[in-house]
Amino acid sequence: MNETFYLTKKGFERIKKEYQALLDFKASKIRGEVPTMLRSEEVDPEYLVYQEDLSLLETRLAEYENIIKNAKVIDVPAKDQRHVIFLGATVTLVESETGVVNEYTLLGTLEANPIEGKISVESPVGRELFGKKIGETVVISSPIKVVYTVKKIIY
Amino acid sequence: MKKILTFFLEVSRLKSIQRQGWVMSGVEDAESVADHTFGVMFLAWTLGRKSGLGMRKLLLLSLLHELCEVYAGDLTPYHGILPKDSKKQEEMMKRWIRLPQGQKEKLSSRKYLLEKKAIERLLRLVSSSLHKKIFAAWIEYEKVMTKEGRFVKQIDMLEALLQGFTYFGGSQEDKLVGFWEHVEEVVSIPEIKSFVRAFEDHHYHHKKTPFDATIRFLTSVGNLKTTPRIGWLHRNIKEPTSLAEHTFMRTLMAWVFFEETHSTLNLEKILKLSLCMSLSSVGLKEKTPYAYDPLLATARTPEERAKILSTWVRYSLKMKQRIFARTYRKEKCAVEKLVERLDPALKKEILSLWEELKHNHTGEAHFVGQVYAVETLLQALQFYREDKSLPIEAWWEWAFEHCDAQFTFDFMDALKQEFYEKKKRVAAKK
Repeated sequence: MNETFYLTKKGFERIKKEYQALLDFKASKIRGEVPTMLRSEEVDPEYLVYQEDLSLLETRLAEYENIIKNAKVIDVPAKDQRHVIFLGATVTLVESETGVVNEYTLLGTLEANPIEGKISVESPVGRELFGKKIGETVVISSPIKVVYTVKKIIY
Repeated sequence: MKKILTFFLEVSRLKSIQRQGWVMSGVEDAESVADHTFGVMFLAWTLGRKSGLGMRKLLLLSLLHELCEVYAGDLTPYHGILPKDSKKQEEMMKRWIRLPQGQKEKLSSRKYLLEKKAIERLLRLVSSSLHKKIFAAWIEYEKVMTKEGRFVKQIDMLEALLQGFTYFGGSQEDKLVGFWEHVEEVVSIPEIKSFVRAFEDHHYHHKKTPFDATIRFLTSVGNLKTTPRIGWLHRNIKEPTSLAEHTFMRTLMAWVFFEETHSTLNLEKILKLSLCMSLSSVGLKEKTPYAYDPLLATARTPEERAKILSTWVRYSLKMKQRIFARTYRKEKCAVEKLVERLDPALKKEILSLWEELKHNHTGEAHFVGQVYAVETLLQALQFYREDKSLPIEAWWEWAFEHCDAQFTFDFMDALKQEFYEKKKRVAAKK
């Protein structure tokens, strides 16, 4: 079964742009830069590197094609569902013990960057948050336990 | 994953095995084998770029070439021939080895056998596929079987010379004579020879050379060997690991996970991304996200401070993004300054890789980010094992935010077994 890649609209546009840039790069590589082969009895190392580069490029292009084919742009849920944490939600959590506030935006893995507060739905924190509602408790445990209450959800 | 963890735990000893040549030369707090490997990798990258050799192979051979020292220890070329008297030892080490050819071969053979036995012992811990790859790489380096093997052999010695300058340049240059003699004996590859000549002109004759920018870059990057990770300092870890040691461990772990997950990502890029990760700390004091915590700034007692540090940071999204933007700007400046005079192609490559890491937009950047998370967690647990007052919860929380790849979950399960369930089993037996 194919993996689904959840992306924001902005993220999806970025992926398509990068894919196009790679296609253009491949075209330029094939057009102008093929090194001469078999200069001597040994295979030209430059040619081998060129072949390896092309092969890596093909793999990368295939990955992008797979993402684009199986991408799902994250939609804002219907009004009556916005009290539930789904992809794209910015969640405000309150730690039960201390009252300290923590916030995350829940995204797909391709756009996660935890240092910016964007966590992946696949991370242990993300998995616990997904589907939770305002007022519910989130417990992230094993081997330590952190307990939060969901205070606010924004889309 | 349990076997892989055991392998990492054993290899992590390279962070505390000091390079014996420096120890015997009287250097206090000498670099570790892991620090040295870090230096060799950067030499491979900067000098190997225009050699026409396979960069991925150069980087891998550099990464793996000292693994035998986990069990063999750091054997200097003087191993087995030094007199017992320390003063006579010091005198002998001022010059490169002078012995009849037959004796040199005997010493070399003995060292090789010791190290071969050691690496075979280490490789019993890994899968057969990894065993073959590591052993093949080690033999390729040891026996100089390929051009890449020869290149790494020579830069291994060159790295020792550069490090020697860091320790003895200026006031104790008589201690460098042996290194110069060794290098003169061994270095034959044109790119490396040119660099050695340039280094000599740069340091002794204050001449401008085409390698000046590279020399400055490597010297600056070498400072990461003596830069401890700030997170460990904040928690009063007695012997914190250096950023160079972390880079070594992370890069090794990245390669092992790459192999064991049969990844189709670009390995050379992964290795380089890992090398680039701490470059901003060359010119900029590392800051953790705690630096922006107003509670920490106003903590009055060590107990209050310890309580705040016992959990991972909790900030609003706005604050997290502000911190990211601020640190990104400062770190970018630091990296730009570090690479500003390098060859334009190398400068562009390093800056581009660093950007990729910060924005986490590619498969390779994501992969290295995942390895970074579990490597840090592993090191934290190793410190926690020695000192139970370390607030390990903060690292688990951080890892729970960062990790989203299956191999990291599997690895965290292995960590739990090793550091928690093993403790329970041992306690139950007692």
